[in-house]
Amino acid sequence: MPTINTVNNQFLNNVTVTTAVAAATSSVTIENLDNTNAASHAKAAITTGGASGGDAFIHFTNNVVDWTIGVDNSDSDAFVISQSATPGTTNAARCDTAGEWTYPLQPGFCAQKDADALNVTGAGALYTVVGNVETADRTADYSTVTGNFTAAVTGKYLLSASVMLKGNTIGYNTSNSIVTSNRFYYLESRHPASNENCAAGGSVIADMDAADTAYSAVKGEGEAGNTADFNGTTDNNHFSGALLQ
Amino acid sequence: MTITSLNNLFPSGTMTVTKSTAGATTSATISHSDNTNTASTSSIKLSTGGANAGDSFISVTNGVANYSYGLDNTDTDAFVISESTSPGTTNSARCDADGSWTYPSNSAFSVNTNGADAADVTGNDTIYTPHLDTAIFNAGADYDLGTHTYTVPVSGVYLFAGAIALTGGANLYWCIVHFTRNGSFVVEGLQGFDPTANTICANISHIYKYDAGDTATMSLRAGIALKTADFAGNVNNSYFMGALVA
Repeated sequence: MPTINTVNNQFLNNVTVTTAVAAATSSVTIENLDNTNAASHAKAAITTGGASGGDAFIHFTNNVVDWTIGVDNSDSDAFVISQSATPGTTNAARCDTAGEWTYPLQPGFCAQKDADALNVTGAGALYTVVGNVETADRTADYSTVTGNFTAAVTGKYLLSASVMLKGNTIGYNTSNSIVTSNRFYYLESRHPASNENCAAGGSVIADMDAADTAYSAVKGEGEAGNTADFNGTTDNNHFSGALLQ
Repeated sequence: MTITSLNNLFPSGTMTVTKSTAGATTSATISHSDNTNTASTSSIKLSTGGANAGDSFISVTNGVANYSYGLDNTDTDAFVISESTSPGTTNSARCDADGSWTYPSNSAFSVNTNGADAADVTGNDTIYTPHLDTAIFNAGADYDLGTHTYTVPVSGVYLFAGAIALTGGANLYWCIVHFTRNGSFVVEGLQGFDPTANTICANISHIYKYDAGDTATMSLRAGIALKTADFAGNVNNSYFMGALVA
């Protein structure tokens, strides 16, 4: 097509720019060559008719996978990034009109154990806590069978845990442990030898590779044998985590 | 010029809208004016031929900085936002096919000890900054392993977590671990003493707003006896970590 120099050119119907030449790029370029004025913008605008109209969006596809980014008119005008051919179906990110971002498919979980476990530590045994009650498990990455959280993707994860031991007689340490495939984190609560219940908690930012696991464990010390009990009151234990970045 | 024909085709594969008038905006507008039907959408579709073809993406540039965002065909079809003219080079955000977002350029660090104890560092309320000089990760290199100081690269909300262990200080009663912002304490955690093993462990975490250039450190102090408490070099007990979260 020749060069068109007229102002405000309009196509009143669809426009398609296409090529099937291998290794060539099919492109639309919007350029402003001026470099003297800060108002010399280059803009692609996508607009729809109003609140009762449709969505305004960009659709990326390689004809295998679809992604869209744009305004979801039927979702309070949120700006969304979706794993589909239209906004609002399988949102991976959503920003509401107040600017608050949420990530509906981001891994995140919280699990608790609702039953005591008797005589599990006290003389140094490491007891793995298997939370059987999930208050969150957005992408089903936590197992209530093994107590393992499995990283969906390589990244940095916030992991938090709290535990409580009871049945102590002369215990002096409750070591809340977060164990990942890469390393141990000990979050210990030490005290004079005591027969009191003892709680410990804490958080770490853990490096995890895809398919790495993390679990919560507790080690009591000071008893003559492993006679201390894990306190299964859900207010007193949890293991939670989320992908941070 | 107004073109009213249906399904206009540019078979050469390229179309350019250009202008060089100072103060004017060059624009391409895709518009649908109907406001009666929710199927009246307006869209730009960027499509490539399949799994063996290239990326479909948008590139934005001011002639100085380049950003691109779209589908990275060579990275398992992830949606990426990249600091370059094409997806996949210097990704600043990446969403995989399962919807998991990562931010490869965001600042984050985790450091622990080199395994060696430091003798007689506190016990008489002396403030001690632990020698956390072994990086597990240090994305952005914002943690200085020599000064044990993290410098905030961008204003935002940061998560910090840390833990320490002290040994050998007989008759200690307590230990406090602190986080600082520009040298001032912003949060403290107190822990008691285990006289059986002569050990104190403490950990804290917090989320706080920091400005670009602010510094953050972790320090501790213990009392109320003599300066005979040793910082424990056990890598599983002592660490300092942080990340930009918002």
